[in-house]
Amino acid sequence: MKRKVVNEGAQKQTISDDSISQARAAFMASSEISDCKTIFVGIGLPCLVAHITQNYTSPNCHLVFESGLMEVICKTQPLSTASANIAKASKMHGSMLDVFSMLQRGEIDVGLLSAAQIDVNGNLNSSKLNTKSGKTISLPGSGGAHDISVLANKVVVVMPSDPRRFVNNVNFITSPNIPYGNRKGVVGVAMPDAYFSFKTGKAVLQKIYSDRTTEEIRSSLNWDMEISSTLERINPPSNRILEGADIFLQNN
Amino acid sequence: MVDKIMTAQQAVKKYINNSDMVFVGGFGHAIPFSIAQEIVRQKKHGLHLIKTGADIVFDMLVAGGCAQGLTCGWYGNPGMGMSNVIRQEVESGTLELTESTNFSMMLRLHAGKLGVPFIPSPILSNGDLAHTVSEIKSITCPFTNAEIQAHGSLNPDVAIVHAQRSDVNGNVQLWGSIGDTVDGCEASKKIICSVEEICQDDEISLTPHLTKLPAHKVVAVIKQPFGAYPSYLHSFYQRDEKYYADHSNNTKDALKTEEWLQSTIYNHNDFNSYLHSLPEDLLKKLEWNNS
Repeated sequence: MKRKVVNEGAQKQTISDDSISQARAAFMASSEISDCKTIFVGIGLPCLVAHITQNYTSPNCHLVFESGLMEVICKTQPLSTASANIAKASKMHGSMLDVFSMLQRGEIDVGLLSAAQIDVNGNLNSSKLNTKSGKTISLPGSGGAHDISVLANKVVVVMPSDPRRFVNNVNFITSPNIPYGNRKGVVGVAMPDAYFSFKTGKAVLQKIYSDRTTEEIRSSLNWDMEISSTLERINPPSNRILEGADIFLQNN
Repeated sequence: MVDKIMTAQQAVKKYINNSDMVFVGGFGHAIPFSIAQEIVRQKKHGLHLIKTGADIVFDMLVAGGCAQGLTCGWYGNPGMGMSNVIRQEVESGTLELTESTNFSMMLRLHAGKLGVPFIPSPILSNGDLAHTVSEIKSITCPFTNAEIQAHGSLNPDVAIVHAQRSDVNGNVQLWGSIGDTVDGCEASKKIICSVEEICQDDEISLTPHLTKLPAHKVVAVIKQPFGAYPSYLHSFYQRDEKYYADHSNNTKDALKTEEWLQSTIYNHNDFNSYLHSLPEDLLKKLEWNNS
């Protein structure tokens, strides 16, 4: 796999394109999380968001995983929400009911999720995909995704850059963007080059990395894309963050 | 004090009936592989399996022909992907899969534990998963008049679980990531438990806060070191990552799956025989303090 030189010093270090892409998406998502928040972390890319948030952007956040682990230090990538690496690095081992109860009581500030597909309204699919040949492919299912999307005070989604994942209508609505009570639901989706807000109900390009153009974003997605009048251009993650993300992704 | 120590063969034969509803303990941790292997070996069938997130032990039970139904919030190989076995069995019509969410499964087990017919929650009010589970029904809240979903209770016939230690009477001590295990066991009518160590009851009395399963519901205590292998057990051993990484390939089609069952279960009279067939030093390398 291609690796990019990020440090020309004595210890020359290279990082794969895949790591850089994941780190850019995760860093973009972490820019939506302020310090001291309680975060319910899904598995996959959300764990990298949690790692970057905890180590670089909002160090006093509280991390919760659906297995019941609380106050987790997310140093290395977990393969499941109950993995030994995060179980060892947690301050409290509760039950699954404990953490979902926190979620239902409204004590989770931010839910971090990924999905197979997201649509322009912020609905998520992690259940079934329809192929062009008319077949249906089953996926592992909701897990806690539906519950997090409905019950977290806000949900930030993080996705890889793949036009097949950004669709106008998802094939199956696992996690509807219809939150409970006055909670905010899916407020946005981060990907490796940009962040889309769902503030108006529909996806609007809200943030873009300074090394990308809006046309590049438009051509990389299947979305009917709107651009915010207050579009923000932000600096991509530093080499220090890219290096940290690379180490995190390799250690599982 | 009643001595409930027995072998997995005896426990499965005596306490698991065909067509039982079975809660499988362990969430990414402490998964009762040794008891599940014995269920397959004894060709139990018609079971309805209950779980929040279903690990690859469900592939074993489903591929072994033991399960007629599976109700869960998720199924697959954690961190690795899809379950080929469950997908194939659902497509061929031999397994009835009811998909829900992890919290709904948790609420239904907790209702069973509380001894009430349902617990209300706003989840599963909308989206394509809403209204697919017949035991979840819309009701009107008597206090707010708002519509809310009643998540119907589950009381499985039996729970299977692996834990760190127990006394002979079934005061079971479990620590590490708990997941859905305690609620699922307490909702169930009886509990079959395998443990790494049997300890004296006065040792249990020194640490009663670690006792998570009540002895009055535990009908069988099986001494089985590495009984959660290839998953992990907190303070005892790590997950065998290679096993999980190879699993998708080992179950990619019916022939490979049969070979997998043969080499892990049918070639062995019991779980210890299977452990002896593993590469030398593997279990040693997985020990908790060696990681």
